[in-house]
Amino acid sequence: MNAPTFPLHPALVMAQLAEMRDQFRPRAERAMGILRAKWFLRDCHLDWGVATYGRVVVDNQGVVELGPRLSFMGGMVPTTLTCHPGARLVVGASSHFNYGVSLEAWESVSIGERCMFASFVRICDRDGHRTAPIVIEDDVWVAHGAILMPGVRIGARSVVSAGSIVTHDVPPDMLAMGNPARTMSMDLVARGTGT
Amino acid sequence: MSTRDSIRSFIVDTFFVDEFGDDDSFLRKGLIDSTGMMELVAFVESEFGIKLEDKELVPENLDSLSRVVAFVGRKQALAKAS
Repeated sequence: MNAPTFPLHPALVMAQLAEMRDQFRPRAERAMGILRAKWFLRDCHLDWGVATYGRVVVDNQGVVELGPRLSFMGGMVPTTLTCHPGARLVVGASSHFNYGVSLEAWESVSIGERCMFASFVRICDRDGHRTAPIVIEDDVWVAHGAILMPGVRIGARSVVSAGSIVTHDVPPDMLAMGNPARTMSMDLVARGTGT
Repeated sequence: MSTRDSIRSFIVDTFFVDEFGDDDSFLRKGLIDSTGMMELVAFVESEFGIKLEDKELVPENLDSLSRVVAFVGRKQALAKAS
């Protein structure tokens, strides 16, 4: 009977405002992320739309090229990008990095487009014995705590499972798992969409 | 114990599944996940003394009990022949 039908009822206005704020907040966070990226990644060749939502530590003495629309998540440990003199570290478009990812290039590390790196992934192209370039093709997902050893090439659309230590190349469309990582066909363990 | 029985009892004991036929797909029936598949591979390698190549880890070789048994048979025959 006395239900508020007037459109400018205070509760309705507040609800409308709250909804607008919720819609706006991601954009505000993204704008902050882009600004933060400009600061944290000031030593890199930075393409547009790169956002960092936490601390990223960069030590660039070589060439670091970061593609468009990257995002670096924040967390308990900062992501670190290290590039030694004469080395190249290239990251393709639209890749995502969770916190604590450690990328280190002594010679060359190149990452394709639309890759995902979970927390505490370690990628370094030098160990105690040798230095060899690492190539990660497009659409690769590397899960939590995986370690990529020098000289490996991860094929497009492959997945590296959590905690794996990848010592050999992973062909495209494969799942790599274990220490040292073995690869199995993705068709063996994952159903395609709608099947 | 036959090859089939030992593989089947490994699957039953490890993955706590019992209701599956020889031709049921492990993947489609949700019997074995990716980690489980790695366990199965490790079991087959240690139990039958064969080495599986990474490129052999495909559904045609490993996605049902009958396929695993046939695959192990082929690998054992190859190992004997060489």
